[in-house]
Amino acid sequence: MDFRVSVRETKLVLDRLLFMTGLDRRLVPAVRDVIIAAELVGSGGFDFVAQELLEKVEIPTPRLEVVEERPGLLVVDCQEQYAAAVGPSLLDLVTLRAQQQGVATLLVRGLRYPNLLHGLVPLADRRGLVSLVVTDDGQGGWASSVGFGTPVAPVRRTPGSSPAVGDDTHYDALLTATAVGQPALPEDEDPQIGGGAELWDALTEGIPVASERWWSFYHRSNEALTRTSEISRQHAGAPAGTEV
Amino acid sequence: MQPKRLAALQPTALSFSRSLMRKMLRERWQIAPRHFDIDERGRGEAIYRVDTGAGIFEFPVFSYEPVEGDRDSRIIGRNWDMKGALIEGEVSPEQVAQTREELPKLYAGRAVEGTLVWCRSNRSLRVFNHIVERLASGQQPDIPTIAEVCYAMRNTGLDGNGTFGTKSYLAYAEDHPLRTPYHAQMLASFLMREFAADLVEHLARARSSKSVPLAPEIRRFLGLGNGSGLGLVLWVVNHPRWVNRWLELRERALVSAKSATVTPDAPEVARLLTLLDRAIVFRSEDRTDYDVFTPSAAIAEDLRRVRPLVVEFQEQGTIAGQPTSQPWAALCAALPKDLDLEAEETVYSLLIELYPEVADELEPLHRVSEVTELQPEMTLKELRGILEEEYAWAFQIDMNAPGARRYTWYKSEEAEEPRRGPVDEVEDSYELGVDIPGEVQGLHAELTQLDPAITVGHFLLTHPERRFIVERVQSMRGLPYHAPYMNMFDDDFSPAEIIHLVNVGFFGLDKTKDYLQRVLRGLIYHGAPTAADIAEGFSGEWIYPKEPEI
Repeated sequence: MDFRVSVRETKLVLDRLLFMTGLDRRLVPAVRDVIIAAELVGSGGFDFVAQELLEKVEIPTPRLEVVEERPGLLVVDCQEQYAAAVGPSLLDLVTLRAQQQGVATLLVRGLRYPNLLHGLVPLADRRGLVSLVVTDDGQGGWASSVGFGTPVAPVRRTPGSSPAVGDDTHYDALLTATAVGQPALPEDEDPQIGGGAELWDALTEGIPVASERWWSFYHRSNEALTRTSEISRQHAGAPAGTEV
Repeated sequence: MQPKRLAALQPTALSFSRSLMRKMLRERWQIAPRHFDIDERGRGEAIYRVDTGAGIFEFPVFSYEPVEGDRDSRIIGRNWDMKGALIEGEVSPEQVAQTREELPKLYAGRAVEGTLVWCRSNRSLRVFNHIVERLASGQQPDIPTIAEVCYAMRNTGLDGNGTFGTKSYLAYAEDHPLRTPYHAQMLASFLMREFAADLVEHLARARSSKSVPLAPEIRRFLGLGNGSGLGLVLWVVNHPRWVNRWLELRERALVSAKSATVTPDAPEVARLLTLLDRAIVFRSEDRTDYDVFTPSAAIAEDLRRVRPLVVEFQEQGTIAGQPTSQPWAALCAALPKDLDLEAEETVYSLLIELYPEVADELEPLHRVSEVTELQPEMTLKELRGILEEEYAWAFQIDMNAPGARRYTWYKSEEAEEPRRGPVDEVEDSYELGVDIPGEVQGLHAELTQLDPAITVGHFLLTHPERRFIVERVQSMRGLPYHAPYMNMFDDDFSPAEIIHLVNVGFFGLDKTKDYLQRVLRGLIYHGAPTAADIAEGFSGEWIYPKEPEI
């Protein structure tokens, strides 16, 4: 049976799965949001969870290395880190460059699950960036996602080929961004605008998922809960039988 | 935003239980069981129907005979005396069957489509059987006995907004009768209270042909018991925008009341005296034995000191000897300086209560976006400026003091119960507490060492672990009420104060007594109109109920 899960419970489960990777907990919300965004634009957020987070895996604090700077282009080496982990930093980098120079391109190497970077497109929309992400589609081809710089417009994803950047065709992901719009300010009172089209759909309709997959996430995530003991029972509530 | 001040907030017209009750009364919702098939031992099922005039909700109830010796008032309990689900529209037998099967699984279950809330409750060990026995013998329950507890059943869990597959608040359509956050849970609470009263009468009838129903004033007096714990502290630190919004709306309502131009013969002057008198009697009669909170007798005494100021205005048009046309502002300025915080907040809440239309106007604003956004282009100079302007409180907390980091927050595998224990007593846990003061101090120390012209985006490339606090600080910029000024890991931190804020201020509970500073018992809809009252167009006062006289 397939069903829909809420954004709230998805966050809860993914947070726990990420806790167990040893990822600095202060980075968990940002990494989790990339995974969810990738799932919402059809780029395999839950596939990544199923393939990597249900077993013991470690995610270190993500670091980027800018290995080359050309006019309008940065070449970034992610040293075989997960795209979800470095995604927030990549988005910051492309945002900064776009705001400083009008347009920015990142050529990214050394990524695991580069497909997840398509999740950056709706996040870039919230920052007022027209953006394009091109990666391997995981099935032998290439896919691109385009965002229009406004959170109310849904991301457009199309199959395609890998464009050459100069004479360079060897990369895992290409990110380009152009600063055109006003960011959707975080204090925006309208929840529909604040989160963007994909997130709004997920908030109102839920996220479709195969039940078997969901329950595998759920049961694994429960391992992040602390084992109970007589002492831990004293850390909350009233003793059993006390009518409070 | 000091926890002690937040803990003093009282129920107001903005509290979700009260705003829903106003709506139900205004729209005269029709609420009654359409099916009630429960045996003489309390086993069976019922379905309550709620007709709001703009839509139908139904509430299937699964009722059980209590299992002696296997009860727990905490969420870790697994044997409940009733379980219920608030569902949109008329429920089909298939929906009821699926709910019957899924609800006991909680986190491992899935609510049927259109479910707004799953809930469960237990009978009061002290009062439930007493009420049944008395009704069965043709008598009303003994008032001192029921006034010790004030409920027949006690809520042990109200889950909605996406939990277990329930509908997310943001998915409630624009014309949804329960669109205001927490109104769905408040309606489920009201229905559990109705069911408790119906059940005691039903069991009494099953025992004796001489039985009588509850007197309307007793039925009204009985609220729904409630127990809340540490989860609400985590809720507060994880929902800063909601917290800010609620407190901001409350301030707006209070400012509006204080700016009202009022003449001594205006009806709101007489109403304030009526409400003040009700609050004084309510506090005088309150039999609850509080621990960290002010005893009700002291609050009653303080309110008696306030009353003459209102009488003075009614009789002479002055407050503390000064003529005024804005008496509520003058009243607030003239309150005795040594008034207990809860007494002071009671006065504020009564002033807000005088103008329910203001609360109604503010109600749609409770819906907020919870999305936060990093602004990588901001310079470190600007970021540091925000810290220094808006987080002075955080710098005043000594995070290296003995006991400052004594506690850790975690969730137990046992029903995912939130817990807080000394660090050295907890193994293999993931920290769920949010260290705002520690993070702010750490971030600030780093910023002072760096070129202020650097952007946040570049800073985070080398300090990625600061992302959370930077994004939070940027996103909460300019919001005055998003964070209580507290160190939640400290030895001296009292979770009960923050739980009190949510239970009393936000939800509108009465008589909230703390247990070990981490659990609060309280009452939802204590003294509130019943379903029959609502259908009949009840228009009297109900807050601060007096003990019934039979």
